[in-house]
Amino acid sequence: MKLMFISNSMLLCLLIVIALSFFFGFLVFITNRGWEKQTNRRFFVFTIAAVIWQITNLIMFFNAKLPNDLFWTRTTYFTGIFGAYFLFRFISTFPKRHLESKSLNIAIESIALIGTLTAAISSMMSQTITSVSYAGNSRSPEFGSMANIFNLTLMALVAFILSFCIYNFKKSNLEEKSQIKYMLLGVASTVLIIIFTDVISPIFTGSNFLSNFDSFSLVFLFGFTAYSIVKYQLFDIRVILTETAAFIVAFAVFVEIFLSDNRTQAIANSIIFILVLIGGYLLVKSVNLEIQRRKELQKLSLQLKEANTKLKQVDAMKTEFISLASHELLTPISAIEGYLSMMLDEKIVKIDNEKAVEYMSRVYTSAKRLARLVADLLNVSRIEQGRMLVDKKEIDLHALIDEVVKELKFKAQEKKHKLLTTVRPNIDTRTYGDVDKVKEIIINLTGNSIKYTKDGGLIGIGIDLWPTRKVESNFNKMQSELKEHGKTSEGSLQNIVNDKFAELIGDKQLVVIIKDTGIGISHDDLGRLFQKFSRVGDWSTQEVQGTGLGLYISRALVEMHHGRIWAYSEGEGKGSTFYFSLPTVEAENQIKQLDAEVPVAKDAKPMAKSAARL
Amino acid sequence: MAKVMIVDDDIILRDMYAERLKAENFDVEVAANGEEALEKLKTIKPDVILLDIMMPKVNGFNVLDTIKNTPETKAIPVIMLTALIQEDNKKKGMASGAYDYLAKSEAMPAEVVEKVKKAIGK
Repeated sequence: MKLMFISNSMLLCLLIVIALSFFFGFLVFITNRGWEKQTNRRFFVFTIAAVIWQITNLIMFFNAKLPNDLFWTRTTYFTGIFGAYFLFRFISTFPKRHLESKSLNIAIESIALIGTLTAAISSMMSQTITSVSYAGNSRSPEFGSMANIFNLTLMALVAFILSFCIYNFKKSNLEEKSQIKYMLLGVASTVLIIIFTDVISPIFTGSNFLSNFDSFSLVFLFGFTAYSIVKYQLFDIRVILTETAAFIVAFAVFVEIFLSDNRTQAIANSIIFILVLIGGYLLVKSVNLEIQRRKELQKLSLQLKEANTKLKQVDAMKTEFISLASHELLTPISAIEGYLSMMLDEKIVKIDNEKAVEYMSRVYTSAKRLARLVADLLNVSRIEQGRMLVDKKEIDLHALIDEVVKELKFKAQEKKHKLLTTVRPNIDTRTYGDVDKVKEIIINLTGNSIKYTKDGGLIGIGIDLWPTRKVESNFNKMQSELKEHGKTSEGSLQNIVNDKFAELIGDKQLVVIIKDTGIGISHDDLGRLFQKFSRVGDWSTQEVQGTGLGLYISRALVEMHHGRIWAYSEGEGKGSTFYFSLPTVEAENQIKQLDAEVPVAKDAKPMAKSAARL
Repeated sequence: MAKVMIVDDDIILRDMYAERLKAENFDVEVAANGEEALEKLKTIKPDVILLDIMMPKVNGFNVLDTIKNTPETKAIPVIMLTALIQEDNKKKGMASGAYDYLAKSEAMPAEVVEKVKKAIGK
């Protein structure tokens, strides 16, 4: 009776192991189109081999001390070596094949296959297992002369398995590594237990009793593998466990039917089995629904991830495109400009036709303008996307204006203009900003004054120190007038750059004033001045042409320096005055603080140098 | 007769600068990319090099680095002549030892010749 109890529990154990093995193998095979992956296919084949091995174990157990005992013992060794072989095949590709050398892979697989086949054949021969003897209930096969072939092959397979485990682990990335860790734990437990029960224990105790239990060790392998699968295929572990538990209970009850002592018990067990089956079915069904939902969610999140990556790529491509496009555009423009400049150069080519020369010089001017436009567009796109770098340092506005005046002197003289600089006495003209960009603003505004003033005019550049309130009220006055007259498009009153840049700092502001005696600006046009592609007045009568981006860029650059820019004019023909404010040098720390809060685009770049202004 | 090497992948621009330089009696040597330029520099010693940046195979910055790190070519003044107009490219070029940095859309051939003369005259 006691023997029967042990047998029953062992039988149940075996059946559970078989059920689990098959269940997990199948799970891996069918989920996430698992059959498409070599690793998953091999895992499935391995579980089948393992199940077959366990079934032969079971049959061997049933045939103990019966005439077929020796045959089934040999068969168990036969199937066992295949189990080890298919485990090796699975491990060599888990989590993916890392050993890239094709010849080495073929060599290892050939050795394993030939060894396995030899061992399998030898296991069925009388020279390997000669007989089975018993000491009580403990089984002990007698090994013959050829047993070493079998043992050697098993050792070699174990060595291959362990080497691949270590090799693949070393070559894996982080996620794969943690996946392997669980697997490794399972394999190690299984292999060690089998070595202990089948090899070490018989050698030291002389009894093969423990080898009856070797197949149980597979529980570790499947347990850990299942966990690894569950964890990385994003299933809910609770769901899987419910399903597994239902399956095992049903299976156990099913086995109980056959182990029943009498008919009544068998019928009772059958009823219980049917009930468990129905309950299990319902449970599994709801669980499947849950899995399906999760799968869909997983799919969605994956799609979302993909879409996000694509979006980022598109954005990067757009950025790249603008840079590349400007380069690609400027190359042919340079050729047009260059050749035209050579045609117009009397040293190189002599053209008698005056008309031809005039037309060519117009083409030349247009090409120049096109080049400038490309540079300006490059800058505008950088500014608007927050990809313009600023490199702020302490700069002296007075010195900078003197520098600009020097540079523009020639152009002013061409039109017989007078350039006059006036700085309010006893003020500190130092500010904290990007010298190239502040210079660009002053050149833009002064250049405009030179352009839009008839020959022999007067252009004054001044620096003053204003209370911040005065700057704000002057700027706001212009803004509110624009709003009232509806002369502005939506958005033109907003800052171009990040609001943090545009914040005014301190109670005093340095104000640069550029005043000319030029054509002036009509009241209606004042508002449109700082918008993209704005050009004021009657275009057809203007001799000078710009890109329409100069003032827009200036406004963005001023905003990047915690400043304001605005214009004033009494009206057409009465000259115009441009104002822009910059913080005093005392604001340095606050500027640094605010600027640090502005998010910087990864590919931020300094400004493109505008092609020489006409 | 002073020798100028023009390194540019754009054949039209290369011809343009070559013609302009020949008009001022310069001896002109051309290379269509960085690799060709470095190969030719093993046998030819120009007095000035006009160097484009965006070229296939080896780009201008790499060519400049190689020239400035090779004892035989180190002393040759290199004028970067490129379509790249961003200030940081200019800074990068000058920091790597370029003699000057000219934007093609800005500096007309006559100006390029002036810079070449200046570079030789120094």
